[in-house]
Amino acid sequence: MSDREVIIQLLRTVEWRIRANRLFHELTVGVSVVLAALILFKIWDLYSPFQAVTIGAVTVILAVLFAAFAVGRIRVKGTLEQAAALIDRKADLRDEIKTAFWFLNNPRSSVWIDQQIQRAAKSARNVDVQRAYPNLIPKTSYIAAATVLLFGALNFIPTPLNHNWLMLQAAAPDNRTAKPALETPLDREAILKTLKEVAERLRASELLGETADDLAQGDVAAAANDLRTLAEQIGDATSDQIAEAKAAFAAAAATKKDKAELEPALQEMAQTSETAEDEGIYEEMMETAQALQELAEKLQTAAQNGESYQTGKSTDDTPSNESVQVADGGPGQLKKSNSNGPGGGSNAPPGGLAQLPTSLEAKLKLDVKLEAQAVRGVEANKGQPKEKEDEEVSQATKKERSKVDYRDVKSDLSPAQKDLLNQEHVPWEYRALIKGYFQAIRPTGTGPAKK
Amino acid sequence: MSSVVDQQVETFQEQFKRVQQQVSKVIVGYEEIIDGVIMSLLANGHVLLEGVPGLGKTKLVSTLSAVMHLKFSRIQFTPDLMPADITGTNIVQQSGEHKILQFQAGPIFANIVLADEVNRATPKTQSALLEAMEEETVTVGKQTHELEPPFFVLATQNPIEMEGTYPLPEAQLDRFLMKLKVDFPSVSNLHTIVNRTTTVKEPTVERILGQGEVLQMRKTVRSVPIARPIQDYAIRIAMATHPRPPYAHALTMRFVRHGSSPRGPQALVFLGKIRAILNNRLYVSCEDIRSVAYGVLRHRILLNFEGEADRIDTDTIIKGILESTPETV
Repeated sequence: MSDREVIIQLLRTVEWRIRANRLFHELTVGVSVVLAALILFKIWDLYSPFQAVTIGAVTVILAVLFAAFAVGRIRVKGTLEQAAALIDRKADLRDEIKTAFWFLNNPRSSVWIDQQIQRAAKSARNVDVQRAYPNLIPKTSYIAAATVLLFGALNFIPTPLNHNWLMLQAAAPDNRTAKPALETPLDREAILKTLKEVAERLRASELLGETADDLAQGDVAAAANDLRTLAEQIGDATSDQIAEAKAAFAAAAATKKDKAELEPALQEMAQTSETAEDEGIYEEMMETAQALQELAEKLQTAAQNGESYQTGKSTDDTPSNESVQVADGGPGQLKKSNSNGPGGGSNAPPGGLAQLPTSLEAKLKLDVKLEAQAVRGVEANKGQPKEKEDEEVSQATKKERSKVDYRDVKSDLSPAQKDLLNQEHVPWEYRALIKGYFQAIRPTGTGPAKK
Repeated sequence: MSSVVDQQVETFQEQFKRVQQQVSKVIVGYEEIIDGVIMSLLANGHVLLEGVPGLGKTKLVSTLSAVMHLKFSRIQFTPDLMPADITGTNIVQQSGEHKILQFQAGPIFANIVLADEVNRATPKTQSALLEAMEEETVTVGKQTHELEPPFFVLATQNPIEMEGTYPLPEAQLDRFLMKLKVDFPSVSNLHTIVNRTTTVKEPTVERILGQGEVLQMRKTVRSVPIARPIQDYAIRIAMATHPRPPYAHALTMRFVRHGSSPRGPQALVFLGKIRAILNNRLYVSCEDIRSVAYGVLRHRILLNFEGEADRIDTDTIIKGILESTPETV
């Protein structure tokens, strides 16, 4: 080999070795990044399983991005000049190869240059490329291997929602789109079933008979109203009846629930059963009524969602199952009906809540909520013995609205405490409710057009 | 063919080493200064030595001239020194019945000229050196006289006791190939100096290099090839001394008023070639350029007001430039 060939050969070897090491490093970084993204996607999938189409699309996108990155990096090639500079530095040749390569490309007639090229070729023969640029496994390859293992491990986590992508498993194709239509009636079925069981246990109490009947019929809102009425009249009940009611509540609270939606109502019933004082049972019963009211609203909302979904859904997608629709009886009253193919929701009686304008519907919902609050306010005026007036006065500022004229109330509060109490404060959880109420009753008529 | 090159390199190295050894007999320490002075002589340049009095600057130059078979003259620059005292003048002489003007050569007509404390003379007198240093000619009246090669000016100046001195103008500073700083010797070197100079036997030097050898060595230096990437590196370093983008360093932008002239990269390459030969290489490397950059560029960088006020050392700027300038673009 001539001196020129020796030098060029060395530079090509060095350039290839540098490029290979660089590519190995960059591709392992790319693999790590892609797998990290895939792992995040897999973790998401563990909690909310994706369809095969989604998984496939994401995988393809990541694969395409990685392929583009890889192609881009593979196409980047270093020059021989750069290789010369790098090998000079690495092998401590003090620009010998770089200079020789430049003179090879820019020949001049000089004995000094010829001699320099000869010396450079000699140095090039002695360069150990393997030693200068050994085939190292980059640290990033360990990261890539770790991400591969982690990704594999995630696919074998034994959880109910986990699908093993490596075995081409994924969530059922229509699971996510059909969820509102399919799950809502099933939920209601389970809730109704549990409510019937609760009703059976409440029947043990004479006082809770009406409430139990309403629950058994699925009219949760009516059951809530019954419970409120009962709470207002609890002062007239005997201690035996109250004890009986407590026992019934305890039994009902012990009902095995199928759905989380029932949790608040049953929890309130349990608290009612634990209330030791007769005065306290009123509060607890009202809380239970409120929980039942909220359950009724949830059921109503679910029924409307299911109905509106089914209205726009094709026949093929609708299985022959039961859906629950809102009847005319009022908000929260549930009625089973069979949906027969497309527009099954349209079987609801005309004039049902689902058919009402949105503003009026919201107003009706609000009516129930505000009614519950009004009951609490009125409660202060009823059922209180006259002899407790002094106590009432002292507690007037601590509890609900007082019927005593504010000028007659003697207060031992400090000015700072009074200032605090005088502030108009709307509880946070009621703000949206009140806002919705005023928006619902806002006049919607169009005024005269402005010019 | 290659043996000729090897022989030239070997001869160069040997002669350089012999001069170095002879000068080192008298001058203790200062190996870098000695190398710089000899390299400047071989690169056809001039040297400005800066240091406090008593460090042996003048002794170094006189020793160097003693080592070589070259004509040496010494000019002590004083405020009342006139240009004619350096260049020479025409004097009237009786020739038979006629009186003729005859040129009486000044001390500048030598091979090695020591311009001692050059900054003590007036600018007018200092300027008398300009033509000689660059053109190697002296013009007196209407006649131009050529100086005999090699012509080498070694000027010294004292960085302290600046009162009553005239700092060298930029034009004259630029004509010096290198500016070498003579620092105070170490304790061990002081012991050696005292021992050598306070005993009966004083060191003597041999004359080992003549005019022909020096000129041959200069020719050898010019033969060393330099690749474009290395030359580009030298030029980029010189360009980085200018406070203008795209090459300017941050320190340059802030503290420098004016950077190196084209003589800067010329000097870098010349001295780089000598250093390459001394390191037994037939080409110039970036390391050669870096090693001579301080001596070449420190007097070519003119500080601005902020740089002067902050007492910025030009070596600091050069260090920043060398650290930030990549070898390859």
